Amino acid sequence: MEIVRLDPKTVAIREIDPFAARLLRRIPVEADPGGDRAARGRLFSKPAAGGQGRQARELNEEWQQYVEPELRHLFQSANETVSDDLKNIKQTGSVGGVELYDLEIPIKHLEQWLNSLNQARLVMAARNGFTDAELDAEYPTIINSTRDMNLLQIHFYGFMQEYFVREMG
Amino acid sequence: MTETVIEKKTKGKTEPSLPWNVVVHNDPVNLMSYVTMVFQKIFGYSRERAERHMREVHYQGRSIVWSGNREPAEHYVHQLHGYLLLATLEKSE
Repeated sequence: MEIVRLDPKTVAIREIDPFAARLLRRIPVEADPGGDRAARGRLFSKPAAGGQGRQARELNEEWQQYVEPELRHLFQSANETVSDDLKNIKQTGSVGGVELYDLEIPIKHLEQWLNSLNQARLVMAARNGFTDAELDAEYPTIINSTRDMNLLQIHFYGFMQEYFVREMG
Repeated sequence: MTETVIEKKTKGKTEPSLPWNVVVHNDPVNLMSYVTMVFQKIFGYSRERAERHMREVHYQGRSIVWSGNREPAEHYVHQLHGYLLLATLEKSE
């Protein structure tokens, strides 16, 4: 798989194998924290650290009431953009019996992709309680559990983020 | 005598209120390149300054990325949360 700039308005992800296609399709799914308290807490963090004292409590309460709905809308909108773009994955051939796909993404959607990828990475990290050491280590090459799979996804989505950040810079 | 009068009039009126700090905290998930890009986008910082703050966050655990009045400080924290960075608002001591 490779990510290339196709033209001034488009990037393309080429030669996506079925496994990578599955990981891509799961971005909006993984970005949903569901009822996981740690994941929700990470997506909607509080503006006053610790929340100690009346002023901090009031700020955190106001934030929850007024800012969180806006953030929820922003995150949802990014996930919808990614979901819509993912509908355009097309099979372009096969090598050795393995199907290969391409996906074109408008440059103007990269900010939403970055946001959605970030949501997915943060939610998976919070849900699994990954340590700094686990996140800094090499990604697992043998997948034995959902936890291993999520760690691989965090690295895979991070690789995509690195490319998109470079394109936006 | 004139000086005394001025002092009485200004006391309590021009005493500057403490500024608010926008603090970004370390997060093992967010990429360094992403954090740098966000600082450039939100604050209009040069790449060098954005990277300096990013390194402070990464190596020292936190960086004060902006200081000033409460209202714009809240706005910046709101924007940083939109980019999913761990940001808080703190009153200067």
